[in-house]
Amino acid sequence: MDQDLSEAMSDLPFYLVSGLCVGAIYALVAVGYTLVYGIIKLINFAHGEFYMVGAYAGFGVYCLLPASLSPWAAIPLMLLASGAAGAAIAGVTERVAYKPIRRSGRLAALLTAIGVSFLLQNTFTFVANAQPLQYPTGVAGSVGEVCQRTVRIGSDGITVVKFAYLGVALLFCVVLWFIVMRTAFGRAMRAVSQDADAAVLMGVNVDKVIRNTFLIGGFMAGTAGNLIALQSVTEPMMGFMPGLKSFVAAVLGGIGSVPGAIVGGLALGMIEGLAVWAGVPTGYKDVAAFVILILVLVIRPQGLLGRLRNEKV
Amino acid sequence: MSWTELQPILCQVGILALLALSLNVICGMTGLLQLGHAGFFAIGAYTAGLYAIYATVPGLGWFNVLPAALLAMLMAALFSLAIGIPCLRLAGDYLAIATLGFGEIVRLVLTNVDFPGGRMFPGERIGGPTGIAFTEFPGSLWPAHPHYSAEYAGLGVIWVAVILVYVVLLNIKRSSVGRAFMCIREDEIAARAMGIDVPRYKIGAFLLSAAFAGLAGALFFHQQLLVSPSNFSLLKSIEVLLVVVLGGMGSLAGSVCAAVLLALLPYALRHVDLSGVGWLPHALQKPLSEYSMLLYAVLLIVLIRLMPQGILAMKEAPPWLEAWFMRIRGRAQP
Repeated sequence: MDQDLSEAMSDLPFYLVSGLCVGAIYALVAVGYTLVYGIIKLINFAHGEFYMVGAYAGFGVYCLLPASLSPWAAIPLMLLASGAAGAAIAGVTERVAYKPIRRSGRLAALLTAIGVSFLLQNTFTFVANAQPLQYPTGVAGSVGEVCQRTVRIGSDGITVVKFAYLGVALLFCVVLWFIVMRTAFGRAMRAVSQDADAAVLMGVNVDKVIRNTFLIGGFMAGTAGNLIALQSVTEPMMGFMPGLKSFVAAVLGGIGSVPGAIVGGLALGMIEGLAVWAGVPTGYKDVAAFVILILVLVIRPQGLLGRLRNEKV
Repeated sequence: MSWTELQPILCQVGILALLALSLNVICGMTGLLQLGHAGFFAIGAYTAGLYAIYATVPGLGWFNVLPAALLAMLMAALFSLAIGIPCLRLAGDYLAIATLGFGEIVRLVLTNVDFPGGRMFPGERIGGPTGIAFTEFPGSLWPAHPHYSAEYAGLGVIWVAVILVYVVLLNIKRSSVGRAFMCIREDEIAARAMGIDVPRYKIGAFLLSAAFAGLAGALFFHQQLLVSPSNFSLLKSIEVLLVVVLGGMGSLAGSVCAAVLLALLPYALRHVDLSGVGWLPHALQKPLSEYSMLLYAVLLIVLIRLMPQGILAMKEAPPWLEAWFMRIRGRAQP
């Protein structure tokens, strides 16, 4: 019994660290949800698909780059490209699908978002034949091999690239904090989120603010998609579950609140890690996120860091 | 297309119509967005499947569908109470997400649980990712009941159910209950001011919708004799929602018409083949039937933008048909 316990305790750091790393990805995606929700009160169902598009773009750039290029130069290039692709698809989606129906009510917007999500998933399934793409690991020193290297934590090996999740998430958080709190655009963003009509009267270009918000969210989601794809696979449905879970993370932290999304993402990752550590069968790991979602919505709908707003007549 | 080919398709159309009718109660009439409809559909189908395994009465023949369907409706209604009472306090988007979570929980749990095989599959475990499949173990079918067949819920049974549900829901829609539902959709605060017990009516609508989805599930199981968790993904909920939007939120006849249109679309297009068209990029050269998911998505986006009212808006018949009815009536009673 004692031995079982000590064994379990020595496993704990592994699950906590790997949960934290995955949580960083949830946080990156959740920030996009929360920014968009804060500004136009839309649950952007297609956000998980921006993540998928980013992963495909990263793979595309990988195929174009010469094989002799060191992975330390190739990976940042791929991440940048995936971010740019995520931002581009987010911008196009906003312009083509969301902008025309902005005045048609929230139900119409939500249904359109679901439609866009399915359209992107099926377009990629259609064109890419749903074939999962993987970075080849055969050659030592190639991108695929470097991303499969592991380091030992507690009792188990964890891939080194997972620590990059934390690094990238931290970097983006700092940049985002700077943008939101220290620039004129950030001030406009906060103004629109507080009261869009008043912001228009103050001379804020709301269309531009909304577009740039989508670009920022798309960039972060795209990068996150490629980060995951580096040591996993790229496939058309890859954005679905992480997208839903990141939304859960955003709700957990308090939707509309950027620090909330980050805290919620990290917390959700750790909860999942702990659930696996505690012996919840892996098949039920995904259930945990949705149970948390319903519990949060019922017990504390404003989330951990959100503020409750009264519905006005 | 021969009758034997057409029959199973018409069965599926009927089940889709039942699902759309039931979703229309909560989404169309009451105006609450429900994204977990496939969850109740799944509960109904699995209840019917488990009834068939454990409790089929051999002497009853196809009448076994009736207790199975009643049980399925009951189970779906019970689950809808369990999920509805806490969740219906949530407004708009949050309710949509909570029900989506519920639908996913049902699917994930069904993927992970298994049941003892009972008398039909002695010694086997059933369920899990393969679901309940009567067709995969032909040898182990319950010997006392060798003809447990898809004819139990054939075309007739399914379409009688569609008509029954349509009539019941139409009467509800035209009663004070239906008007209360629609009042909640138009303005919740005004509804409360008019003395409508909003939470009670919301839960009532949710329960009604879930029970009929359970009925659709039971018929689906009896028609297919093969259900697996992949039948009940979010995709199914979205497909049903698309039918409701296409038919017109709140229009029951619209839901049935849209279900027929949408389910027949892939069959109408199945002879169109783009695989030989030279000027198209290689990736697009496929038979048109493979485009159907893509078409659904585009259809949803375009519909919301161009025809947010659907084909029948909230009415039960297009205006010209209504006018025609009125004229006939006028002539009959001078």
